[in-house]
Amino acid sequence: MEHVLSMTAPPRAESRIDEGEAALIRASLGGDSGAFSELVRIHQHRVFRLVGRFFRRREDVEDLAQETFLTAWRKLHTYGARAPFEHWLTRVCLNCCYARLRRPGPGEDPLPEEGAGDGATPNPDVALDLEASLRALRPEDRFLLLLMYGEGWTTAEIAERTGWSRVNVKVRAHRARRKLQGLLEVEP
Amino acid sequence: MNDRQARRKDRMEAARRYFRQHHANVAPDTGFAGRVAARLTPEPAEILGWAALRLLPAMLALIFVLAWFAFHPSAATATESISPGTPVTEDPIAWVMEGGEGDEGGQDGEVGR
Repeated sequence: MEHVLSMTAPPRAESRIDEGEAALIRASLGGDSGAFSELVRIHQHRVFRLVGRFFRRREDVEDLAQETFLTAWRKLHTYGARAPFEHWLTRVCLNCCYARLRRPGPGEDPLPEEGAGDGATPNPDVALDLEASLRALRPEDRFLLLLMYGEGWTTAEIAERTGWSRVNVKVRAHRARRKLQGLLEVEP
Repeated sequence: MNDRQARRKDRMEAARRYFRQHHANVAPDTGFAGRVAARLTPEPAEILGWAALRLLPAMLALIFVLAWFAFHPSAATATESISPGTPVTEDPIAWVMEGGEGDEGGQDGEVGR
């Protein structure tokens, strides 16, 4: 089982890298923190949106987003420029979120207040039930299901963006779906 | 499809909808990039800390060597004689001249009598 997502961006024959962004990356590699700050401004909304898929509290989202960019700053030399920087940064972000989800200890997002409903389902009791089912899943399964159903990514897209093999993703997805079905079938 | 299968299908569909909308809906504020930039350059205390950590092995080796010399004095500075009759002198020639007359007493520097 791959516990660490591969950091190297997948090679692609046709890749278009924005020249302005390439200049910012070169300057960042030279130690220019101002250039890297500009990269942060360009990609911060995307990172927040992705992290917000896995964590509900604002402080957790901000913490993981900062960790994503700081990791990207430290490991920028591993970016091969064979694919868009956005893809590489997405992988860094997923790596950070996955590691945090698997970390044992407190920090679970609190369950939504009863009756508060987040608009996902008209019945807030069903929302609470689903949230409890989601919480009962293993972090690895929760991670994958949120990418599949939350982000709407296909197996191929998940494999590409995480660095896992397609077979690995398919097997994990199948297991995660079966587990969710099992949890949902338990009559309250 | 019986009732149980229909219920299961509905619940899975509800779960999928829930996942699609499971989101914190948090956007970065205007100061986020600045906060990240502030953490890019380490503080002086942090730099000094890392430098001290790198010097730690060499410092430990130096302390070990100094302690070894402190607790293991060399044979040339020993004041204890090997045998009571052995004359003690820093002059090796005089020591050779005097060393064969170990039964005689009253010689300068002789200890143990």
